[in-house]
Amino acid sequence: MKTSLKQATKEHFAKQTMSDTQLQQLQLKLKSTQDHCLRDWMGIAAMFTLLVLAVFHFYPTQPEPGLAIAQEVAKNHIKLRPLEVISDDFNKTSAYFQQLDFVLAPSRRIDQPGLTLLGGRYCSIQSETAAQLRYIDSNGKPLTLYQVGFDAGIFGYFPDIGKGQEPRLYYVDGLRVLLWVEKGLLMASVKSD
Amino acid sequence: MELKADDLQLLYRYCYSLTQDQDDAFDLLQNGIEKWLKTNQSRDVGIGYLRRIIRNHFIDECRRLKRVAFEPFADTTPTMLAADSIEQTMISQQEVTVLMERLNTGERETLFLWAVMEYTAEEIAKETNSPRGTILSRLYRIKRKVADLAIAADGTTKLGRNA
Repeated sequence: MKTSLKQATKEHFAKQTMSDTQLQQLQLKLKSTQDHCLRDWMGIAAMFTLLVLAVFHFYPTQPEPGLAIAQEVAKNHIKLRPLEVISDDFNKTSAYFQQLDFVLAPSRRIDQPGLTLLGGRYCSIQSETAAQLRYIDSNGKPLTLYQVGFDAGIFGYFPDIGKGQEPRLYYVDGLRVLLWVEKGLLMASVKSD
Repeated sequence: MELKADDLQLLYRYCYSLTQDQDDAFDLLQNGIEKWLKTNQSRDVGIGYLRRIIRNHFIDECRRLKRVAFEPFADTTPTMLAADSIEQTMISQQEVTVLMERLNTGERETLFLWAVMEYTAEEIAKETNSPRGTILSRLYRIKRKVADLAIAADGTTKLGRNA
């Protein structure tokens, strides 16, 4: 049965909906930014107090900004979108990424025996163009490594393993996510726990 | 500006009109929202501004992947004399699905803005920063492709009867 093109088009697009999980993910992102803006206006004195208290602690008390990044890379790991470059050679894989404003660097966190590079693809982290490298271990399980140019103004504070600091650990959707800074790049690794 | 669930779903559908892929549509929407949140004007502008951010990001991604985002028009492309001449076009739900696969990105986007957002050709032109003639050309091509679908369906029916 035919109807007007306008009505049929409305009905066609009405069938395209995000899942509840996707909707909640976006709403959480919006809410956390709104809450963050409130802290900007109202939390200056509170942050100063925290800074003073932090002097008497062994570890800094800065808020952890990595959860959104951990969720984003975990989601990309689960999707396993097609690789854009297929190679087991890091230099050949790195040469593909001409659109990045940084150079990929091998990470000393990804050097365990039995780990094989499969290739890579472009992705984004917090809207910054990034690279996803995909590995497979000796048990056939995937590991994804993400690299993006590090800017504390964009991403916040993260431990620098070059300074002897340990990566920050998150568990997202059953996956083990590590975030760290290395050689001036923000890196993230994702694998099954 | 607060974005409600309905707003987000509508934006998702706009992204889907550009990408024709559910995963790509969500990625595009997510990236667009992140860029929007970073702008100083995020509290003072409407959803149209967010759609423009999404559109620009889509174009950037196509450029990066060396894809053509919006196909250029030849000067000889026919245009619709009046935008409302497409209002009488009839189509079935099955044909709409086929139609979407035959439209290019610009045509799908134009169809979405015309049908779902109920914009006029002038409003679509302003929204997409395109000449009004380009929008009328796209509407003409959409109407022609709908007609081609009807002709193809009639041909199949006649063949069936003859068999």
